[in-house]
Amino acid sequence: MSETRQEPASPKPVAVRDEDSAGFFDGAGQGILMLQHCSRCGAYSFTEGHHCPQCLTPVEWVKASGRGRIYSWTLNYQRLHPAYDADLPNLFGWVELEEGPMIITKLVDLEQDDLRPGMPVSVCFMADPGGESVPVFGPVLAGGGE
Amino acid sequence: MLDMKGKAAIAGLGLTEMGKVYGRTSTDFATEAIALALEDAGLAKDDLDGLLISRGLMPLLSGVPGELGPELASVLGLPDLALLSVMNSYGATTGAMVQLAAMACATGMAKAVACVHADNPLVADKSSGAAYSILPPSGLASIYPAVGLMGSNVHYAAAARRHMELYGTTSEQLGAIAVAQRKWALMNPRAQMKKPMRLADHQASRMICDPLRLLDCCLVSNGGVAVIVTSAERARSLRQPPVYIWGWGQGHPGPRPDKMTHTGAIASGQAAYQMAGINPADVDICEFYDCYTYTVLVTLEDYGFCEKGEGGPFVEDGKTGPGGSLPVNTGGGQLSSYYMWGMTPLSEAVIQARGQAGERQVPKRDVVLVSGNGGNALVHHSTLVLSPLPA
Repeated sequence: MSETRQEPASPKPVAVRDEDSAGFFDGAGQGILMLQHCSRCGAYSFTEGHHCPQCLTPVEWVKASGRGRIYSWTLNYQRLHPAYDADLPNLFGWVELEEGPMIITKLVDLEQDDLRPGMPVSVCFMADPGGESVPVFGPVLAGGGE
Repeated sequence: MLDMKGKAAIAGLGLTEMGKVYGRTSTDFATEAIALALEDAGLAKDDLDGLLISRGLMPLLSGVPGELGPELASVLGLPDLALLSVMNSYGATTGAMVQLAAMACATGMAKAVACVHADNPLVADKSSGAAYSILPPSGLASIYPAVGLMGSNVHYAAAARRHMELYGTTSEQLGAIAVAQRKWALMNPRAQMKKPMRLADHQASRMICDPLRLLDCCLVSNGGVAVIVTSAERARSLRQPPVYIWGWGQGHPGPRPDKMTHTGAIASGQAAYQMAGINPADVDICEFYDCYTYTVLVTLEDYGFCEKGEGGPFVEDGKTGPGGSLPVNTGGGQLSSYYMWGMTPLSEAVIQARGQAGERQVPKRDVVLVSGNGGNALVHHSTLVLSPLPA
Protein backbone atom coordinates (compact mmCIF):
# COMPACT_ATOMS: atom_id res chain seq x y z
CA MET A 1 0.00 0.00 0.00
CA SER A 2 1.28 3.51 -0.72
CA GLU A 3 1.65 6.07 2.03
CA THR A 4 -0.16 9.35 1.66
CA ARG A 5 2.16 11.36 3.87
CA GLN A 6 5.92 11.39 4.29
CA GLU A 7 7.19 9.64 7.42
CA PRO A 8 10.06 11.45 9.18
CA ALA A 9 13.40 9.80 8.32
CA SER A 10 14.45 7.47 11.11
CA PRO A 11 18.05 6.36 11.61
CA LYS A 12 19.16 2.81 10.85
CA PRO A 13 18.59 0.58 13.88
CA VAL A 14 21.89 -0.42 15.45
CA ALA A 15 22.89 -2.94 18.05
CA VAL A 16 23.25 -1.45 21.50
CA ARG A 17 24.93 -3.28 24.35
CA ASP A 18 23.59 -3.61 27.85
CA GLU A 19 25.01 -5.24 30.96
CA ASP A 20 23.76 -8.72 30.05
CA SER A 21 25.05 -8.64 26.47
CA ALA A 22 28.41 -6.93 27.11
CA GLY A 23 30.28 -10.23 26.84
CA PHE A 24 28.62 -10.97 23.52
CA PHE A 25 29.46 -7.60 22.02
CA ASP A 26 33.02 -7.66 23.36
CA GLY A 27 33.51 -10.84 21.33
CA ALA A 28 31.72 -9.40 18.32
CA GLY A 29 34.07 -6.43 18.33
CA GLN A 30 36.97 -8.87 18.02
CA GLY A 31 35.31 -10.98 15.33
CA ILE A 32 34.41 -13.81 17.72
CA LEU A 33 30.96 -15.34 18.08
CA MET A 34 30.09 -15.78 21.74
CA LEU A 35 27.44 -18.10 23.10
CA GLN A 36 26.02 -18.57 26.57
CA HIS A 37 27.37 -21.66 28.31
CA CYS A 38 26.22 -23.44 31.42
CA SER A 39 29.07 -24.70 33.56
CA ARG A 40 26.72 -27.03 35.40
CA CYS A 41 25.14 -29.04 32.57
CA GLY A 42 27.34 -27.99 29.64
CA ALA A 43 24.51 -26.72 27.46
CA TYR A 44 25.03 -23.79 25.10
CA SER A 45 22.29 -21.25 24.56
CA PHE A 46 21.62 -17.93 22.86
CA THR A 47 18.74 -16.13 24.53
CA GLU A 48 17.93 -12.77 26.02
CA GLY A 49 17.80 -14.29 29.50
CA HIS A 50 20.80 -15.17 31.58
CA HIS A 51 19.90 -18.64 32.80
CA CYS A 52 20.46 -21.99 31.21
CA PRO A 53 17.25 -23.13 29.49
CA GLN A 54 18.09 -26.73 30.44
CA CYS A 55 18.78 -26.38 34.16
CA LEU A 56 18.19 -22.71 35.08
CA THR A 57 21.76 -22.13 36.28
CA PRO A 58 23.19 -18.67 35.45
CA VAL A 59 25.22 -18.79 32.23
CA GLU A 60 28.39 -17.13 31.01
CA TRP A 61 29.53 -15.98 27.61
CA VAL A 62 32.16 -18.24 25.99
CA LYS A 63 33.82 -18.37 22.59
CA ALA A 64 31.97 -20.44 20.00
CA SER A 65 33.22 -21.94 16.76
CA GLY A 66 31.19 -19.62 14.56
CA ARG A 67 30.18 -22.56 12.38
CA GLY A 68 26.70 -23.82 11.73
CA ARG A 69 24.34 -25.29 9.17
CA ILE A 70 21.43 -23.72 7.34
CA TYR A 71 18.07 -24.79 8.83
CA SER A 72 15.86 -22.46 6.79
CA TRP A 73 15.81 -19.08 5.11
CA THR A 74 13.66 -16.40 3.52
CA LEU A 75 14.30 -13.72 0.91
CA ASN A 76 12.57 -10.62 2.21
CA TYR A 77 11.01 -8.02 -0.10
CA GLN A 78 9.19 -5.99 2.55
CA ARG A 79 10.23 -2.41 3.11
CA LEU A 80 10.61 -2.83 6.85
CA HIS A 81 12.72 0.29 7.42
CA PRO A 82 13.97 3.02 5.08
CA ALA A 83 17.60 2.29 5.98
CA TYR A 84 17.34 -1.12 4.31
CA ASP A 85 15.35 -0.21 1.20
CA ALA A 86 18.44 -0.02 -0.99
CA ASP A 87 19.48 -3.59 -0.07
CA LEU A 88 16.18 -5.27 -0.89
CA PRO A 89 15.49 -8.08 -1.26
CA ASN A 90 17.60 -9.23 1.67
CA LEU A 91 18.29 -12.81 2.64
CA PHE A 92 17.77 -14.03 6.19
CA GLY A 93 18.89 -17.41 7.49
CA TRP A 94 18.06 -19.66 10.39
CA VAL A 95 21.39 -21.26 11.31
CA GLU A 96 21.80 -24.22 13.63
CA LEU A 97 25.14 -23.62 15.30
CA GLU A 98 27.60 -26.46 15.88
CA GLU A 99 27.15 -26.09 19.62
CA GLY A 100 23.37 -26.51 19.38
CA PRO A 101 21.53 -23.18 19.53
CA MET A 102 19.73 -21.64 16.56
CA ILE A 103 20.58 -18.11 15.47
CA ILE A 104 18.42 -16.02 13.16
CA THR A 105 20.71 -13.91 11.06
CA LYS A 106 21.45 -12.16 7.80
CA LEU A 107 23.11 -14.22 5.06
CA VAL A 108 25.84 -12.58 3.01
CA ASP A 109 27.63 -13.63 -0.18
CA LEU A 110 24.92 -16.19 -0.81
CA GLU A 111 21.96 -16.37 -3.19
CA GLN A 112 18.66 -17.94 -2.24
CA ASP A 113 19.08 -20.56 -4.97
CA ASP A 114 22.40 -21.65 -3.44
CA LEU A 115 20.80 -22.66 -0.17
CA ARG A 116 19.99 -26.17 1.03
CA PRO A 117 19.04 -27.39 4.49
CA GLY A 118 22.19 -28.64 6.20
CA MET A 119 24.55 -26.47 4.15
CA PRO A 120 27.57 -25.31 6.23
CA VAL A 121 28.00 -21.59 6.87
CA SER A 122 30.24 -19.58 9.12
CA VAL A 123 30.09 -16.29 10.93
CA CYS A 124 31.59 -12.98 9.99
CA PHE A 125 31.03 -9.64 11.62
CA MET A 126 29.49 -6.55 10.12
CA ALA A 127 30.83 -3.28 11.49
CA ASP A 128 28.04 -0.80 12.06
CA PRO A 129 28.80 2.92 12.45
CA GLY A 130 27.14 4.19 15.60
CA GLY A 131 26.55 0.72 17.00
CA GLU A 132 28.08 -2.61 17.92
CA SER A 133 29.36 -5.07 15.33
CA VAL A 134 26.80 -7.72 14.56
CA PRO A 135 27.16 -11.33 13.41
CA VAL A 136 26.11 -12.32 9.91
CA PHE A 137 26.70 -15.65 8.18
CA GLY A 138 28.23 -16.55 4.83
CA PRO A 139 29.77 -19.42 2.95
CA VAL A 140 32.53 -21.38 4.66
CA LEU A 141 35.77 -20.07 3.19
CA ALA A 142 38.22 -22.47 1.61
CA GLY A 143 40.93 -23.09 4.22
CA GLY A 144 38.55 -22.92 7.16
CA GLY A 145 37.59 -19.26 7.64
CA GLU A 146 38.29 -17.54 11.00
CA MET B 1 -8.42 -35.34 34.32
CA LEU B 2 -11.91 -34.52 35.64
CA ASP B 3 -14.61 -34.99 33.03
CA MET B 4 -15.25 -31.43 31.82
CA LYS B 5 -16.75 -32.32 28.45
CA GLY B 6 -19.82 -30.23 27.75
CA LYS B 7 -19.99 -28.71 31.24
CA ALA B 8 -19.70 -25.19 29.85
CA ALA B 9 -21.00 -23.49 26.74
CA ILE B 10 -20.68 -20.31 24.72
CA ALA B 11 -23.95 -18.44 25.24
CA GLY B 12 -23.22 -15.08 23.63
CA LEU B 13 -21.22 -13.64 20.73
CA GLY B 14 -20.63 -9.98 19.88
CA LEU B 15 -18.75 -8.61 16.88
CA THR B 16 -18.19 -4.91 16.24
CA GLU B 17 -17.77 -3.50 12.77
CA MET B 18 -14.30 -4.66 11.70
CA GLY B 19 -11.61 -3.61 9.26
CA LYS B 20 -10.76 -0.02 8.36
CA VAL B 21 -12.83 1.41 11.18
CA TYR B 22 -11.26 4.56 12.57
CA GLY B 23 -11.71 6.86 15.49
CA ARG B 24 -12.25 4.25 18.18
CA THR B 25 -9.77 2.90 20.70
CA SER B 26 -9.29 -0.75 21.57
CA THR B 27 -11.19 -0.04 24.78
CA ASP B 28 -14.10 1.32 22.73
CA PHE B 29 -14.15 -1.81 20.57
CA ALA B 30 -13.90 -4.11 23.59
CA THR B 31 -16.73 -2.32 25.35
CA GLU B 32 -18.96 -2.46 22.30
CA ALA B 33 -18.17 -6.15 21.65
CA ILE B 34 -19.11 -7.08 25.20
CA ALA B 35 -22.32 -5.04 25.03
CA LEU B 36 -23.24 -6.85 21.80
CA ALA B 37 -22.43 -10.24 23.30
CA LEU B 38 -24.59 -9.53 26.34
CA GLU B 39 -27.51 -8.53 24.13
CA ASP B 40 -26.96 -11.65 22.00
CA ALA B 41 -27.12 -13.86 25.07
CA GLY B 42 -30.03 -12.02 26.67
CA LEU B 43 -27.89 -11.16 29.71
CA ALA B 44 -27.61 -7.92 31.61
CA LYS B 45 -24.24 -6.31 32.24
CA ASP B 46 -24.49 -7.01 35.93
CA ASP B 47 -24.92 -10.73 35.19
CA LEU B 48 -21.24 -10.83 34.29
CA ASP B 49 -18.98 -12.00 37.09
CA GLY B 50 -15.96 -12.85 34.98
CA LEU B 51 -13.84 -10.86 32.52
CA LEU B 52 -10.89 -12.19 30.52
CA ILE B 53 -9.04 -9.82 28.21
CA SER B 54 -6.85 -10.40 25.16
CA ARG B 55 -4.97 -7.41 23.77
CA GLY B 56 -4.05 -7.10 20.16
CA LEU B 57 -0.68 -5.67 19.21
CA MET B 58 -1.66 -2.01 19.35
CA PRO B 59 -2.70 -2.03 23.00
CA LEU B 60 0.23 -4.35 23.80
CA LEU B 61 2.79 -2.08 22.18
CA SER B 62 1.24 1.35 22.55
CA GLY B 63 2.33 1.73 26.15
CA VAL B 64 -0.92 3.56 26.89
CA PRO B 65 -1.51 2.85 30.54
CA GLY B 66 -4.66 0.87 31.14
CA GLU B 67 -5.47 0.24 27.48
CA LEU B 68 -7.17 -3.15 27.67
CA GLY B 69 -5.61 -3.76 31.04
CA PRO B 70 -7.50 -4.95 34.10
CA GLU B 71 -8.85 -1.39 34.24
CA LEU B 72 -11.36 -2.43 31.58
CA ALA B 73 -13.43 -3.82 34.45
CA SER B 74 -13.87 -0.29 35.78
CA VAL B 75 -14.61 1.11 32.33
CA LEU B 76 -17.39 -1.48 32.02
CA GLY B 77 -18.65 -0.75 35.53
CA LEU B 78 -18.08 -4.30 36.81
CA PRO B 79 -16.98 -3.89 40.43
CA ASP B 80 -17.70 -7.40 41.75
CA LEU B 81 -15.91 -9.78 39.44
CA ALA B 82 -15.08 -13.25 40.69
CA LEU B 83 -12.62 -13.76 37.83
CA LEU B 84 -10.53 -11.07 36.10
CA SER B 85 -7.36 -11.40 34.08
CA VAL B 86 -5.48 -10.07 31.10
CA MET B 87 -4.13 -13.08 29.24
CA ASN B 88 -1.50 -13.36 26.57
CA SER B 89 -0.22 -16.22 24.45
CA TYR B 90 -0.68 -14.14 21.32
CA GLY B 91 -2.94 -15.89 18.84
CA ALA B 92 -3.50 -18.81 21.22
CA THR B 93 -5.02 -16.46 23.80
CA THR B 94 -8.65 -16.73 22.74
CA GLY B 95 -8.63 -20.52 23.14
CA ALA B 96 -6.89 -20.14 26.49
CA MET B 97 -9.48 -17.56 27.67
CA VAL B 98 -12.39 -19.82 26.74
CA GLN B 99 -10.72 -22.74 28.51
CA LEU B 100 -10.26 -20.79 31.73
CA ALA B 101 -13.79 -19.39 31.51
CA ALA B 102 -15.17 -22.91 30.97
CA MET B 103 -13.30 -24.25 33.97
CA ALA B 104 -14.50 -21.32 36.10
CA CYS B 105 -18.14 -21.89 35.09
CA ALA B 106 -17.91 -25.68 35.45
CA THR B 107 -16.49 -25.40 38.96
CA GLY B 108 -18.90 -22.69 40.03
CA MET B 109 -16.21 -20.04 40.49
CA ALA B 110 -18.10 -17.79 38.08
CA LYS B 111 -21.49 -17.78 36.38
CA ALA B 112 -20.96 -15.72 33.23
CA VAL B 113 -17.52 -14.87 31.88
CA ALA B 114 -16.92 -12.43 29.04
CA CYS B 115 -13.83 -13.18 26.94
CA VAL B 116 -12.88 -10.24 24.73
CA HIS B 117 -10.25 -9.36 22.12
CA ALA B 118 -9.84 -5.95 20.50
CA ASP B 119 -7.21 -4.14 18.47
CA ASN B 120 -6.82 -0.89 16.57
CA PRO B 121 -3.58 -1.13 14.58
CA LEU B 122 -4.90 0.69 11.52
CA VAL B 123 -4.61 4.47 11.52
CA ALA B 124 -6.14 6.47 8.67
CA ASP B 125 -3.52 7.59 6.11
CA LYS B 126 -0.91 5.05 7.15
CA SER B 127 -0.13 1.86 5.28
CA SER B 128 -1.12 -1.37 6.95
CA GLY B 129 2.50 -2.48 6.71
CA ALA B 130 3.35 0.32 9.11
CA ALA B 131 0.67 -0.85 11.53
CA TYR B 132 2.92 -3.09 13.57
CA SER B 133 6.07 -1.02 13.98
CA ILE B 134 7.80 -1.84 17.21
CA LEU B 135 9.98 0.13 19.65
CA PRO B 136 13.74 -0.47 19.19
CA PRO B 137 15.16 -2.97 21.69
CA SER B 138 18.58 -2.89 23.31
CA GLY B 139 20.94 -5.65 24.33
CA LEU B 140 21.04 -8.97 22.54
CA ALA B 141 17.60 -8.37 21.00
CA SER B 142 19.02 -5.37 19.15
CA ILE B 143 21.13 -7.49 16.78
CA TYR B 144 18.03 -8.43 14.80
CA PRO B 145 16.74 -5.01 13.70
CA ALA B 146 20.39 -4.05 13.17
CA VAL B 147 20.46 -6.46 10.21
CA GLY B 148 16.92 -5.66 9.08
CA LEU B 149 15.12 -8.54 10.78
CA MET B 150 11.72 -7.23 11.88
CA GLY B 151 8.15 -8.40 12.12
CA SER B 152 6.41 -11.76 12.02
CA ASN B 153 6.32 -12.43 8.29
CA VAL B 154 9.94 -13.55 8.03
CA HIS B 155 9.47 -16.19 10.72
CA TYR B 156 6.46 -17.78 9.08
CA ALA B 157 8.18 -17.58 5.70
CA ALA B 158 11.14 -19.53 7.07
CA ALA B 159 8.76 -22.14 8.48
CA ALA B 160 7.01 -22.50 5.12
CA ARG B 161 10.40 -22.71 3.39
CA ARG B 162 11.52 -25.51 5.71
CA HIS B 163 8.33 -27.43 4.94
CA MET B 164 8.87 -26.97 1.20
CA GLU B 165 12.45 -28.19 1.42
CA LEU B 166 11.59 -31.26 3.49
CA TYR B 167 8.33 -32.29 1.86
CA GLY B 168 8.11 -30.64 -1.57
CA THR B 169 5.18 -28.38 -0.67
CA THR B 170 4.58 -25.78 -3.38
CA SER B 171 3.41 -22.18 -3.55
CA GLU B 172 0.43 -23.32 -5.63
CA GLN B 173 -0.64 -25.61 -2.79
CA LEU B 174 -0.53 -22.68 -0.38
CA GLY B 175 -2.53 -20.78 -2.97
CA ALA B 176 -5.24 -23.46 -2.98
CA ILE B 177 -5.88 -22.59 0.67
CA ALA B 178 -6.18 -18.88 -0.08
CA VAL B 179 -8.49 -19.53 -3.02
CA ALA B 180 -10.79 -21.82 -1.01
CA GLN B 181 -11.07 -19.35 1.83
CA ARG B 182 -11.86 -16.45 -0.50
CA LYS B 183 -14.84 -18.45 -1.82
CA TRP B 184 -16.17 -18.74 1.73
CA ALA B 185 -15.54 -15.02 2.32
CA LEU B 186 -17.69 -14.05 -0.63
CA MET B 187 -20.64 -15.54 1.27
CA ASN B 188 -19.81 -13.65 4.50
CA PRO B 189 -21.28 -10.16 4.80
CA ARG B 190 -18.66 -9.30 7.44
CA ALA B 191 -15.69 -10.19 5.25
CA GLN B 192 -13.27 -7.40 4.34
CA MET B 193 -12.31 -9.07 1.05
CA LYS B 194 -15.12 -8.97 -1.51
CA LYS B 195 -13.49 -9.92 -4.83
CA PRO B 196 -13.09 -13.46 -6.19
CA MET B 197 -9.57 -14.92 -6.23
CA ARG B 198 -8.24 -17.44 -8.73
CA LEU B 199 -5.00 -19.36 -8.24
CA ALA B 200 -3.43 -17.16 -10.92
CA ASP B 201 -4.24 -14.09 -8.80
CA HIS B 202 -2.51 -15.68 -5.81
CA GLN B 203 0.54 -16.52 -7.91
CA ALA B 204 0.67 -13.00 -9.34
CA SER B 205 0.42 -11.32 -5.94
CA ARG B 206 3.65 -9.65 -4.90
CA MET B 207 6.24 -11.54 -2.89
CA ILE B 208 6.37 -10.43 0.75
CA CYS B 209 9.10 -12.75 1.93
CA ASP B 210 9.78 -15.81 -0.14
CA PRO B 211 7.87 -18.10 -0.24
CA LEU B 212 4.97 -16.05 1.17
CA ARG B 213 3.11 -13.77 -1.21
CA LEU B 214 0.67 -11.01 -0.33
CA LEU B 215 -2.28 -13.41 -0.67
CA ASP B 216 -0.58 -15.87 1.69
CA CYS B 217 -0.74 -13.31 4.50
CA CYS B 218 -3.67 -12.28 6.68
CA LEU B 219 -5.46 -8.95 6.81
CA VAL B 220 -5.08 -6.21 9.39
CA SER B 221 -8.27 -5.09 11.13
CA ASN B 222 -9.55 -2.71 13.76
CA GLY B 223 -12.42 -4.02 15.86
CA GLY B 224 -13.44 -6.21 18.77
CA VAL B 225 -15.08 -9.58 19.40
CA ALA B 226 -16.40 -11.02 22.64
CA VAL B 227 -17.95 -14.32 23.70
CA ILE B 228 -19.76 -15.10 26.93
CA VAL B 229 -19.19 -18.46 28.58
CA THR B 230 -21.59 -19.93 31.11
CA SER B 231 -22.37 -23.34 32.51
CA ALA B 232 -24.15 -25.63 30.05
CA GLU B 233 -27.31 -25.47 32.13
CA ARG B 234 -27.29 -21.66 32.24
CA ALA B 235 -26.70 -21.47 28.49
CA ARG B 236 -29.83 -23.56 27.87
CA SER B 237 -31.92 -20.91 29.66
CA LEU B 238 -30.60 -18.04 27.51
CA ARG B 239 -31.47 -16.58 24.14
CA GLN B 240 -29.22 -18.46 21.71
CA PRO B 241 -28.68 -22.17 21.00
CA PRO B 242 -25.80 -23.15 23.31
CA VAL B 243 -22.43 -23.99 21.78
CA TYR B 244 -21.11 -26.63 24.13
CA ILE B 245 -17.41 -26.85 24.83
CA TRP B 246 -16.49 -30.51 24.48
CA GLY B 247 -12.76 -30.38 24.74
CA TRP B 248 -9.65 -28.26 24.86
CA GLY B 249 -5.88 -28.27 24.99
CA GLN B 250 -2.77 -26.18 24.64
CA GLY B 251 0.64 -26.81 23.12
CA HIS B 252 3.79 -24.71 23.47
CA PRO B 253 6.82 -26.36 21.83
CA GLY B 254 9.27 -23.79 23.17
CA PRO B 255 12.74 -23.62 21.66
CA ARG B 256 12.51 -26.84 19.61
CA PRO B 257 13.64 -25.93 16.07
CA ASP B 258 11.30 -28.46 14.45
CA LYS B 259 8.29 -26.44 15.55
CA MET B 260 8.50 -24.85 12.10
CA THR B 261 7.02 -28.07 10.75
CA HIS B 262 5.77 -29.86 13.90
CA THR B 263 3.78 -27.29 15.81
CA GLY B 264 2.05 -27.06 19.18
CA ALA B 265 -1.11 -28.21 17.41
CA ILE B 266 0.08 -31.79 17.80
CA ALA B 267 -0.06 -31.67 21.60
CA SER B 268 -3.02 -29.33 21.91
CA GLY B 269 -5.04 -31.30 19.35
CA GLN B 270 -4.39 -34.61 21.06
CA ALA B 271 -5.44 -33.20 24.44
CA ALA B 272 -8.62 -31.71 22.99
CA TYR B 273 -9.55 -34.85 21.04
CA GLN B 274 -9.06 -36.98 24.13
CA MET B 275 -11.20 -34.75 26.30
CA ALA B 276 -13.93 -34.52 23.67
CA GLY B 277 -13.80 -38.23 22.94
CA ILE B 278 -13.34 -37.70 19.20
CA ASN B 279 -10.79 -38.24 16.46
CA PRO B 280 -10.19 -36.32 13.21
CA ALA B 281 -12.76 -38.36 11.28
CA ASP B 282 -15.47 -36.99 13.60
CA VAL B 283 -14.72 -33.34 12.77
CA ASP B 284 -17.30 -31.67 10.52
CA ILE B 285 -15.93 -28.13 10.32
CA CYS B 286 -12.47 -26.65 10.93
CA GLU B 287 -11.94 -23.06 11.98
CA PHE B 288 -8.18 -22.59 12.02
CA TYR B 289 -6.01 -19.64 12.92
CA ASP B 290 -4.73 -18.60 9.50
CA CYS B 291 -2.27 -15.76 9.92
CA TYR B 292 -0.75 -17.33 6.79
CA THR B 293 -1.85 -20.01 4.35
CA TYR B 294 1.05 -22.09 5.66
CA THR B 295 -0.42 -22.03 9.17
CA VAL B 296 -3.55 -23.77 7.88
CA LEU B 297 -1.53 -26.36 5.99
CA VAL B 298 0.65 -27.37 8.93
CA THR B 299 -2.35 -27.33 11.29
CA LEU B 300 -4.19 -29.84 9.09
CA GLU B 301 -1.18 -32.16 9.34
CA ASP B 302 -0.66 -31.67 13.06
CA TYR B 303 -4.33 -32.31 13.82
CA GLY B 304 -4.07 -35.63 11.98
CA PHE B 305 -6.19 -34.93 8.89
CA CYS B 306 -3.30 -36.13 6.76
CA GLU B 307 0.24 -37.39 7.26
CA LYS B 308 3.09 -35.05 8.12
CA GLY B 309 4.33 -33.53 4.89
CA GLU B 310 1.14 -34.34 2.96
CA GLY B 311 -0.66 -31.05 3.66
CA GLY B 312 0.06 -29.70 0.18
CA PRO B 313 -1.48 -32.58 -1.80
CA PHE B 314 -4.32 -32.70 0.77
CA VAL B 315 -5.53 -29.15 0.04
CA GLU B 316 -4.76 -29.09 -3.68
CA ASP B 317 -8.14 -30.45 -4.78
CA GLY B 318 -10.05 -27.68 -3.00
CA LYS B 319 -11.64 -29.94 -0.40
CA THR B 320 -11.44 -27.17 2.18
CA GLY B 321 -13.67 -24.84 0.14
CA PRO B 322 -17.45 -24.62 -0.24
CA GLY B 323 -18.89 -28.00 -1.18
CA GLY B 324 -15.69 -29.78 -0.19
CA SER B 325 -15.35 -32.71 2.17
CA LEU B 326 -13.53 -30.78 4.93
CA PRO B 327 -14.69 -27.16 5.22
CA VAL B 328 -11.94 -24.93 6.63
CA ASN B 329 -12.40 -21.28 7.63
CA THR B 330 -15.94 -21.02 6.44
CA GLY B 331 -16.16 -17.25 6.93
CA GLY B 332 -13.01 -16.56 4.94
CA GLY B 333 -10.68 -16.61 7.92
CA GLN B 334 -8.03 -14.06 8.73
CA LEU B 335 -6.89 -14.24 5.13
CA SER B 336 -10.16 -12.93 3.72
CA SER B 337 -12.65 -11.90 6.41
CA TYR B 338 -11.15 -10.14 9.46
CA TYR B 339 -8.06 -10.41 11.67
CA MET B 340 -9.15 -10.54 15.28
CA TRP B 341 -6.49 -13.08 16.29
CA GLY B 342 -8.10 -16.17 17.85
CA MET B 343 -11.55 -14.60 17.80
CA THR B 344 -11.64 -14.94 14.00
CA PRO B 345 -11.86 -18.74 13.97
CA LEU B 346 -13.87 -18.84 17.23
CA SER B 347 -16.54 -16.38 16.07
CA GLU B 348 -17.15 -18.30 12.84
CA ALA B 349 -17.20 -21.58 14.80
CA VAL B 350 -19.97 -20.26 17.05
CA ILE B 351 -21.99 -18.98 14.09
CA GLN B 352 -21.69 -22.31 12.25
CA ALA B 353 -22.37 -24.43 15.35
CA ARG B 354 -25.55 -22.43 16.00
CA GLY B 355 -26.71 -22.96 12.42
CA GLN B 356 -26.75 -19.20 11.82
CA ALA B 357 -24.29 -18.97 8.93
CA GLY B 358 -26.89 -18.40 6.22
CA GLU B 359 -25.62 -18.89 2.70
CA ARG B 360 -22.33 -20.32 3.93
CA GLN B 361 -23.84 -22.69 6.51
CA VAL B 362 -22.23 -26.13 6.47
CA PRO B 363 -25.10 -28.62 6.79
CA LYS B 364 -23.34 -31.08 9.07
CA ARG B 365 -22.14 -29.07 12.06
CA ASP B 366 -22.02 -31.46 15.02
CA VAL B 367 -18.28 -31.14 15.72
CA VAL B 368 -16.36 -27.91 15.12
CA LEU B 369 -12.60 -27.79 15.70
CA VAL B 370 -11.07 -24.40 16.54
CA SER B 371 -7.37 -23.59 16.61
CA GLY B 372 -5.38 -20.68 17.96
CA ASN B 373 -1.76 -20.07 17.08
CA GLY B 374 0.73 -17.45 18.14
CA GLY B 375 4.31 -16.25 18.35
CA ASN B 376 7.21 -16.03 15.93
CA ALA B 377 6.63 -18.59 14.66
CA LEU B 378 4.15 -21.25 15.71
CA VAL B 379 5.28 -21.09 19.31
CA HIS B 380 1.94 -21.15 21.13
CA HIS B 381 -1.14 -23.21 20.36
CA SER B 382 -4.64 -23.75 21.70
CA THR B 383 -7.47 -26.03 20.58
CA LEU B 384 -11.20 -26.06 21.31
CA VAL B 385 -13.77 -28.65 20.27
CA LEU B 386 -17.28 -27.14 20.08
CA SER B 387 -20.70 -28.64 19.38
CA PRO B 388 -24.37 -27.64 19.33
CA LEU B 389 -24.98 -30.98 21.00
CA PRO B 390 -24.58 -31.51 24.73
CA ALA B 391 -21.79 -34.00 25.66
